[in-house]
Amino acid sequence: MRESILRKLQEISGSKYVLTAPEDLVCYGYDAQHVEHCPEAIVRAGSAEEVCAILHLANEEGLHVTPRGAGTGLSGGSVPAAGGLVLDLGRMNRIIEIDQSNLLATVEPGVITADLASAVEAVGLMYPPDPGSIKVSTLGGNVAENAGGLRAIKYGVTADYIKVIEGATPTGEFFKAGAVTMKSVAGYDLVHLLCGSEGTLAVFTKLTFKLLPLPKARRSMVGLFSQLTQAAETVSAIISAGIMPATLEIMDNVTIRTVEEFKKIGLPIDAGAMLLLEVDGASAQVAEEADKAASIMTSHNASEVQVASTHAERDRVWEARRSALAALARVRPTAILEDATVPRSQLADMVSEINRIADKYSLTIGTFGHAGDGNLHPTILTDQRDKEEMARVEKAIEEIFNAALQLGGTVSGEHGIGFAKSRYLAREVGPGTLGMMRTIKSALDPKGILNPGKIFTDQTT
Amino acid sequence: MLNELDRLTFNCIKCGYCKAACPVYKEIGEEAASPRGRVRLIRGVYGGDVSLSQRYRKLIELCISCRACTAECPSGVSPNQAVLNARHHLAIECGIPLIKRLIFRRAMTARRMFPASAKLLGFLQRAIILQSRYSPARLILPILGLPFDKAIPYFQLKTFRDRMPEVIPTTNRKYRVAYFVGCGADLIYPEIGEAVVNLLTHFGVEVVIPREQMCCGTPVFTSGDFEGAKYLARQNLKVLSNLDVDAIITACGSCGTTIKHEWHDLLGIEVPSELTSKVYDITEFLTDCLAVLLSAHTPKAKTITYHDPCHLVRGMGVRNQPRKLLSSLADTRYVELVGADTCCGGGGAYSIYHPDMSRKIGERKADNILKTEADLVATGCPVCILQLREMFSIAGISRQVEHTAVVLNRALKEKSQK
Repeated sequence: MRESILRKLQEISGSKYVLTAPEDLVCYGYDAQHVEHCPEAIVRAGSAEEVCAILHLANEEGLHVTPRGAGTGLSGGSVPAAGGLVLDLGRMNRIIEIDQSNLLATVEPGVITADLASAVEAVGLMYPPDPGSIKVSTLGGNVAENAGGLRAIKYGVTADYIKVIEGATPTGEFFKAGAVTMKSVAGYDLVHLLCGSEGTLAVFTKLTFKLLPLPKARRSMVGLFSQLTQAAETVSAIISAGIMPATLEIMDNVTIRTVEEFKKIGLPIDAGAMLLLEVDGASAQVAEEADKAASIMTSHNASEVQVASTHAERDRVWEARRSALAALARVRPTAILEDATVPRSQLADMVSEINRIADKYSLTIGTFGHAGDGNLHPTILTDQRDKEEMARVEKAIEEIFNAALQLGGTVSGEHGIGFAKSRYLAREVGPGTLGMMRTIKSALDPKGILNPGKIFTDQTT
Repeated sequence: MLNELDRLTFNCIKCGYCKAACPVYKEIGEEAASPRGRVRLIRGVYGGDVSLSQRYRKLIELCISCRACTAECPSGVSPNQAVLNARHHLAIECGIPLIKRLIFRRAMTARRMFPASAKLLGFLQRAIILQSRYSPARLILPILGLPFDKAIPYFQLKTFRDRMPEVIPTTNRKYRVAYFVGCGADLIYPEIGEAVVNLLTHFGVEVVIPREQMCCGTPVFTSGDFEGAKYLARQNLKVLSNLDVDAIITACGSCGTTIKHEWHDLLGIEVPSELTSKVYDITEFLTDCLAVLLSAHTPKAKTITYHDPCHLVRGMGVRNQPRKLLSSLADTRYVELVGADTCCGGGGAYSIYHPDMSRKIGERKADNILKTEADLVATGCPVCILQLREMFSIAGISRQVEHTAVVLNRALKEKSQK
């Protein structure tokens, strides 16, 4: 990067916050997806003014800018695919206000999701989105990727809670989109355009979220099945019976065994699959729904149903689920997590397809995910040094996405397109929709400086 | 060596869970100062896209070895061990700084010279009156790169082991154990050693304090000097293997972890499993082997809390035992500390090499302790005691910080006097 640009960046944010050492560059070249690209510099912005000034400068100089939170994304969204500048927002990490009378929380983008969740819980409120990476990921990143999580089936995803976004456009203009009121139809719904835009349309500097009252009661349970498909079928049965769990997750045998090996919490390593379910709400309703869900599991061939009776037991259930991805990574050196999502009613078919594909290409695939909302994470356990196997992996991924699309699903339930899945996007949305997306992108970012190489295939540099 | 680095780091899937646990990253916020960043850098050295630069060395040295990242990593990577190996690699490729080499290879490995130099230091400390926070002699500290108000531990003029016989018998002997004293209790806080011996003998345990024991090697290998640490490990191993004892007791999580695990896992020394299975922290031995519950009154404290030393809780896996013992004290309320097992910033000699970082981490800990409103905080590591006392002294707050064994021993004495 040119010396003159670096000097200007140092003037904007202070030289302490502009990093150019090779040791720093390699550490900002990755997220939790496995492909890396190094930036030429990192700037750690401290305010909205700085963010605007940086984007302004980038437009003048034709400099590529990739915004970044904690770098926990799974589609390469914060990887600087075209080099340039990484704009780290981790320093902007203040919880600005928790407004109990309007059930709102206003934060800077670098706040860790779990920190907001526990701050609002302390005053009897709930921030429902609950991504697996909650302890590390930032709210700015959650909004950029429209993060889902374990409670999406009942409570929805990040987009269902974001009310106001302040930030900078790709050309460096300050904007404020949305309203704190319950209703607002003042112009285009920019908040929901920006939420999930994967850092290609704006950089966020302040976010206001809707909160809910904390449910009075919760109950968690685990159902064990000998077959994965039996567990998948049970999901539909539970929902059809009118029960709306807060969380309904599935883990296959490969996942159960690996998590057990890591956590040693007494998971049944012989079970073909597990359903992990939690209901919440008013005490009486929770008790009724829990009993009903348990009896549906039993009548659908669950060999055993265990209901957590203490907090510690409940935590253990969810700890098991949260560790699934990374525990799978113990099996082989490379774990490739996919994000295929189908309508809930097609879940059993999708699970069978994944099993068929794993057999066809002789691959180990651990499947877990948000069964309740049809969002599966088939995780391929491989070794990227093995060229021959990686070729089979590529084919398997292709078939998994095709299967998801054929079943009326989507290529990404919650991780975004990034660069990892850009070539499958056109297949899902078709040329008309893709054209509309491109028009929006080029209107807002005429020079294409913000997070290039993401979502669209032909924009890698 | 490089192969080892690769093996240790290859399974990292960069999920970033380790970042949430790292006290150093929390303060700096730069990815390269996080465990995930360090693992990437170490992989980079292996892959050839990172060189052994000053910046690399600094980032690798910045790790405080609290192991929180390793405990958090679901993929089975040990960023902590990778860092120690990377330091060893750096020591081989770039050498060990002269001062450390002198301390590790000359002073610490000579059996009599180490206590002798500590005693000399103790004498000098008293002669130049370093104890006053405002002593002009403290002007030497900034020259050494330390803050003016840095707490300097007082080295004893007579070490704990000098004061004690080699064998301390007991009546109604149930067990015979060896006490591995460790440098902290021997040279700085002899009251810990006295408490350990009193507690054990009181409950019918004969204590042997092997004369020839040396430093366990923690400060040596954490600096990358595996060769120096191996020498110490072998000497100690010789001493410990020849004893006819039921257990080896430590009162310092680092000593315990090092004997139990690191001599074998990190330094690759053959340590008989009969020996490692005999290593107990004092609180672990009191609870698990002697089933001690002190319904004794402890003087000077109404409310007690407990801080987990990193190497005691994550290295030795001792978590419940000290809590159980402290909760059993009569007329004393035990309160749990928020974030009890996060590092206090002491980290052995870390506070000397990274005084600012050490202090920032320590201040967070001190704040959490103050929130409990406990008037005494117990812990199981001499360095944590030193660090916490310094944090409170800087803040001008009076709080007792004691080793768990010292608290228990005091309660016991009180009881027997009644």
